[in-house]
Amino acid sequence: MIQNFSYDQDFKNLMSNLSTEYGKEIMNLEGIGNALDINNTSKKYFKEKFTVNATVDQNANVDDNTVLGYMMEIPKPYFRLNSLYKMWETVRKLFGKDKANEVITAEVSGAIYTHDLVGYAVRSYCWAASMLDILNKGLPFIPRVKSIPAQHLTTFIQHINQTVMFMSNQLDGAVALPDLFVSISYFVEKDIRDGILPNPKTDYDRYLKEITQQFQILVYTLNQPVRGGQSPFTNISIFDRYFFAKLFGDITFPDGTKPDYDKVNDLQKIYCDMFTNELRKQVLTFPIPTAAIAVEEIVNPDGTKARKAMDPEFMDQIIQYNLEYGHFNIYTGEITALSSCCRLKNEIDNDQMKEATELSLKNMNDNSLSKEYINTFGATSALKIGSHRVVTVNLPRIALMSSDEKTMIDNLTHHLSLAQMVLEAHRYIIRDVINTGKLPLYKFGLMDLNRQYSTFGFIGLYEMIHLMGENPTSEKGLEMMEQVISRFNTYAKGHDKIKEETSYIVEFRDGTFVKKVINSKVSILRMGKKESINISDLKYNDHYDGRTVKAVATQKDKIIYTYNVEQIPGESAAVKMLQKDRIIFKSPELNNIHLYSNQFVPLSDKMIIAERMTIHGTFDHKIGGGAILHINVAEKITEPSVMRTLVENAISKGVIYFAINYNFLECQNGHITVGKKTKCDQCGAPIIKEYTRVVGFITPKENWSNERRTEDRQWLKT
Amino acid sequence: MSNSIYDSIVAINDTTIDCKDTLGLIIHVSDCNMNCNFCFNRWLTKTSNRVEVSSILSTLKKNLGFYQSLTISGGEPTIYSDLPLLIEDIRKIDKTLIIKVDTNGYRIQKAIHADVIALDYKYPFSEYITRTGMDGTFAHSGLNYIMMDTSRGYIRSTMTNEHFQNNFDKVMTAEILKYNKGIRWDIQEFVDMPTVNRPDLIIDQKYNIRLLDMRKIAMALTDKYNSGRQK
Repeated sequence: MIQNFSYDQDFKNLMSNLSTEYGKEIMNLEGIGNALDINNTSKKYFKEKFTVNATVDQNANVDDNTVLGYMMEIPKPYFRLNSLYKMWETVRKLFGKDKANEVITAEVSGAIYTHDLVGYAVRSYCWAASMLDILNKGLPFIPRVKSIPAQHLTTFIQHINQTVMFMSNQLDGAVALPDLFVSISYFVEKDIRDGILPNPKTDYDRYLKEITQQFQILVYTLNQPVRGGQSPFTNISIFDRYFFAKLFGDITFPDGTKPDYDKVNDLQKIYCDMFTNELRKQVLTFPIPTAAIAVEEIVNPDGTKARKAMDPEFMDQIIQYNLEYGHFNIYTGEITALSSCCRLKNEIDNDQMKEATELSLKNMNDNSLSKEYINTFGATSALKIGSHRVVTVNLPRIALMSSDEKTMIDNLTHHLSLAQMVLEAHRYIIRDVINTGKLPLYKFGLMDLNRQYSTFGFIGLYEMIHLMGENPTSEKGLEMMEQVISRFNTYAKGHDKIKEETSYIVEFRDGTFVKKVINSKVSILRMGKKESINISDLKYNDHYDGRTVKAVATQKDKIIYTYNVEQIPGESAAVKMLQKDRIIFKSPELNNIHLYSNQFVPLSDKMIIAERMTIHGTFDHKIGGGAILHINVAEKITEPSVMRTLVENAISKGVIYFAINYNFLECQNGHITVGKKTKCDQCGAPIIKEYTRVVGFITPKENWSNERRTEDRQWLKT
Repeated sequence: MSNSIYDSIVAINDTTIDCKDTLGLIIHVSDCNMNCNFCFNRWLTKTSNRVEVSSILSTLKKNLGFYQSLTISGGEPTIYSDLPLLIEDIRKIDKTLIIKVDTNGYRIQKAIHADVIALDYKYPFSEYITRTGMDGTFAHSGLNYIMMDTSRGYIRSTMTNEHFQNNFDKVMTAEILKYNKGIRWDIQEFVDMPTVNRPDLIIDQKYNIRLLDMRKIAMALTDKYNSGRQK
């Protein structure tokens, strides 16, 4: 089928060779085999009860099983194919044809895995957006209905919702709202002063009711499936006193007031009460709350060092809220770094990121919000961060290819180089798309590619060491894990750079412009004759891109390349990589593995929490892009002292990001309880649905892949 | 089957529910003197898995202060004569750890050095022989033992559909009430799991009220016990 597309013949030949070499099954797993046959895919979709069983792109957040799901799923194989072409084309331009072929081979065969390949050719991945931007400027990026800055809380809540709706459709991954409560606090105080909201000092009950209702509107809207049948993937942050001071200590609101922690924390508490109350009625996945607990190192009287929460009062607050449903992701770090997304760590004082901020300020055009924003709010831009793409290296594959540790590291380095090319190509692709104006949030300064990491992902570290013949949790096994993580980090750091790059601005005679970041070959009509020339060689009167050229100018742009490393959740990657490895390597050892682990020790392993935390704590601070430790406790913790012990132990063991996972049960009558029962605690009715945190967020198990369900059964067994 | 508990530990897990208000560990020993139809740990008697006591002790040593309790459960820990030695060895490593023993009462005095003893009171005494394969006299004496020192012992009962069908709830309640004494009594509801696979034992909704009544009595006894403690 692909032979009929207008792709470069070299690409078509490559795909045909890959299909012959790896067979139909691999092409199907890649989502560009049978799924390209729209008739078959349509039939399959309507035969399956759940979309997860009919998609080429499994995602537990997809719970739309209607025709909308169908409309979203059907084109995915085509998007994937086109993304591969765009990847190939761009890598070829940057690194040559051989490398382009190698990258696509690695991608199709499962040696590397580009996340959300569907959107690779047009979208970036995730972003922590500042709601202070919206507070200041309204919604100028929605051209049809321009909204000026909100004047009151109710409008601002709608602005937040509309921003998330817009932004989440421009991204493949998550939207984080780290300064949500700070920005809301501005309107709450303003509305109290204006007499629109009751004064909490005189009428707290009515104040509480009004604020709770606004938060309900926010949460219920954010959970609507407005992103092609999915809810936007959103994160919010709840800060302790120390993080708050570091992040917001210097900011001043437009009316000259400054945010007050106690007032902001009161809003955080109202929100947590509201969310817990809603969870009693139904499981709400979004927004995923991260509680940021600042920790410091203290020296004990005996000279030993320990990590301790700086704001114990806040920690107790979170412990209390986390008891009933365990729904917080907990970040415990020093105040120089922060996780505002589901796991991405933001090095607030990182020099390259500081340079990115300065550069953004310098490069801003007149449409940008950020100019005023940075002048007005200063340091808060540190919160604005993201990843433009994650490319994961299949670690068990490295082990399957390697005979000893040396070849293991050599093979890893080689695969990292392939992943790096995919990431660099993607940065170019996104720059090009930004230049076309089709990613307007960049143009308006609400997003900034210079502040988006290129992320190397890893998964299956445990299985890799096991396949190398070592016990992963032995001293030697842990040493090998350390070696692998170090290689990732040195490779990532080695590719951080600030480069001055030339772009080409083509001016047309009709007054329009186009900016291209690669001096690629283009087809033109010159004196009525078809020619293929580089963009830089365009001349007056050449006919290109349907227009007549006036002139070509060059522009030097300072581009920041920042890489980081993430232990990826790999909801679907964990399964696909294993399946591809089984087909290609036929190793019997792979049959004993359900899926590649997104933890340092798989959840199916019966290792006790203390040891799991020790291992996670050893490596967590080395994973700049983040990792999350799942602490699975099947039964509800009822005593705050037990929850506190778990949190304090995690802190003392050096665990930075973790979640305490319960097993949620929904009965026929809609009651939500926790545990391992077959009947409801509250009414005795049968349990009809189970939920838990699968890869960082809580989803119904019926939306999971079979492999994830098997893993889940393993940890629930005892 | 080994005669030593040191060769009979088959699993070690975390627990947040087995020893009240603590983050703890639970270790399971193989083999049991009983054969209850609702047992969800029957797999323990079939597995050849073994966990070395030395590795448990070294885990405790490495993680001093991490756990607050350790529960020795089964199978049935008191079938092993060297249970007191194990308790002693654990205590030598971590003096602050609350050590708890779960027992069906078989040789309850073997658990004498534990800080907490949880006695499974499974059926009316007269039913033990037919339903567990063991005479109920030791369960009776186990209960007497716990009643002598309620400060560290408590009882718990798992109720199944069978219990209600045969009115065992009423008989068991009467047997406990005879002591006329406050005691912590935990009533658990049978939960079917893949390891048990006895859907017929799930309590029918029509018995919900009786289960609730039984729980109320158990809670009243627990309250009485707690108020006694406060005095």
